[in-house]
Amino acid sequence: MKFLPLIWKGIWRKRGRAILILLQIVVAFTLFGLLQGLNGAVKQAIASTHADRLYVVGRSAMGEPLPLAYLEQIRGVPGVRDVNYRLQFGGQYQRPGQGVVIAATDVESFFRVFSEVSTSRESIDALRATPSGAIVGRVTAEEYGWKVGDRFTIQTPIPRTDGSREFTFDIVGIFENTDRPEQSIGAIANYAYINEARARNRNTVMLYTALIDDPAKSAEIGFAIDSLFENSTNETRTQTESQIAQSQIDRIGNLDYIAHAITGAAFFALLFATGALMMQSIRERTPELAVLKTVGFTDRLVMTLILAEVLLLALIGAAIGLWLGDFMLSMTRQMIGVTGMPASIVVAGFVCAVLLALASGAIPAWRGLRLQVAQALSGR
Amino acid sequence: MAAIVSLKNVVKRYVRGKQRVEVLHGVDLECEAGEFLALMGPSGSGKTTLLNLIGGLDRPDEGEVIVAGERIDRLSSGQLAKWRARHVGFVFQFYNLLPVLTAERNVEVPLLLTKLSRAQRRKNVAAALELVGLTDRAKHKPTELSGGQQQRVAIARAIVADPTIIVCDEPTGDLDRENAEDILGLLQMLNQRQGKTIVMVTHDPRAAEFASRRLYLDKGRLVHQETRSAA
Repeated sequence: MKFLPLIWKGIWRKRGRAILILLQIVVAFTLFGLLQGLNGAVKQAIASTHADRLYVVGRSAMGEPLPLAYLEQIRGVPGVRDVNYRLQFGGQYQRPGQGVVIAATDVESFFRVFSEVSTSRESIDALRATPSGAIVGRVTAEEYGWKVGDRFTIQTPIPRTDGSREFTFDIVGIFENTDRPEQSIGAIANYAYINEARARNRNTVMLYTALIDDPAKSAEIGFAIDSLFENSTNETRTQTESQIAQSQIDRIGNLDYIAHAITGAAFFALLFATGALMMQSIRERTPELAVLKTVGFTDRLVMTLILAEVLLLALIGAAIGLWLGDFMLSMTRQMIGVTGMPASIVVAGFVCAVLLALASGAIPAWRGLRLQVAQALSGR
Repeated sequence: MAAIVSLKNVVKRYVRGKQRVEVLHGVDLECEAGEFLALMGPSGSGKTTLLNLIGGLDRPDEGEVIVAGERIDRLSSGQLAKWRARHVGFVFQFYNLLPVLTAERNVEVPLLLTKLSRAQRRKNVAAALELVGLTDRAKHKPTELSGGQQQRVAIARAIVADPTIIVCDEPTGDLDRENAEDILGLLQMLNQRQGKTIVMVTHDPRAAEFASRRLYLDKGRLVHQETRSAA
């Protein structure tokens, strides 16, 4: 600790250069934090999906209508404990940019299958008793200032028999997603209310969600479900929740590769940039290092001081960069549902900072170690 | 009095390009404790090389170097560094202060290698700065000090750890006459009142007048010596 002021002053010997090095490190670690954090958070989200839920969608495309008549057949597959069907669509509330996602479903099975979505028994009963009722997510309710008893109308992409695309809902309750509170969004409505009013695709759903007894048998059960509708007009594809999440991520591209490639390139460039600047710094300070050795600092101590300088700078830069990365990641929360930077990425970031410091500081530190006092003092 | 510096048949060679140049040819030298010794001679005579050997900054190719009772030519690089920290204070022509540190922090540098507490270090630094008359400039950086003041800081740094010997390489070479005499007076005071052994390299005869003994080197050999009377 007594050497810390010496190290600190050494870092800021040339303020402009120190800031330049620090900025490079900050930018690289912001990139690292953002990309690896996003990647890690997505992996964590996929890993935390419910393995006991299978999603049955149209084989050709997700969103392709499936007959409501499939319900009983899916329910009859061995290993399936419960089934929920859903028609999901987005609507616009009052003006562009104010979206509301509606899940038109069978309310009883919905709350059984999606156990993390929680509301009161009274709300469920009220929704069953109110055809135009809706249980609204807490976040959405807060965003638009809605409360139980309010009524809202949205513009939807679903044409009604009367030619309009408007649907009006009476709020009968509020729900909360207990796993991911920030995902308490949208509204749950009665399937029958939408189905009876719409002009097209009546008695069809967007997807079924099957709750199964044994997650280890998900592939087997999924195959059994898809086999039921093989060669029919509406063939199905059954996937686990994690497979669905992964396929959505895959639409962006290979996130793993993108994250590793970009941060790898940034660190590679940083290694040379920091190394070169440190070399320059050590060259300029040769007489000062010689003085330290003259008064009794050992070769190893001088080498350690140089490494400590790079290390301190790298750790400060990494801390700022990771904080910025986390901050930027939190801004994407609403868009992609990432909850924050996983702790493992923070740890990995600091490990990278240490390795980077050791690698970029190795040659300057070696120069410091090998510095011959008599030669350095005489300018040879 | 016992010899605090003893060099026996010391040979030092340097490699310059493809040539090996012998700069010291079997030098024998003794310096007693409490002595103020001036090493004089023309450029290239080997004065600084000899001083570096005495101060443990370099090793001879042949011969023995015994300083403060230690055969330092046999010490490893790490041992030599620790030995320097305990026994030698250095004063250079161009002061060689760390530009990012204040005067008091520069003086404190050798004490960072000791086990002294922060408070004790500060106390010793204050005492050293008071001795060189720079208490009021303690918080100033080297660039805010005159040449003479910077050399005083360097002297304070050299004495703060209470070394056995102080080695000075042209300590007045970068100073005007007035400042040079101040610095030499300060070194003389450290020698006479504090009993510090001082070995000083200089090519200035007036600077050498302050020493109690003068040794003349020429072409790597000690050729002549003069001793000042105690008066």
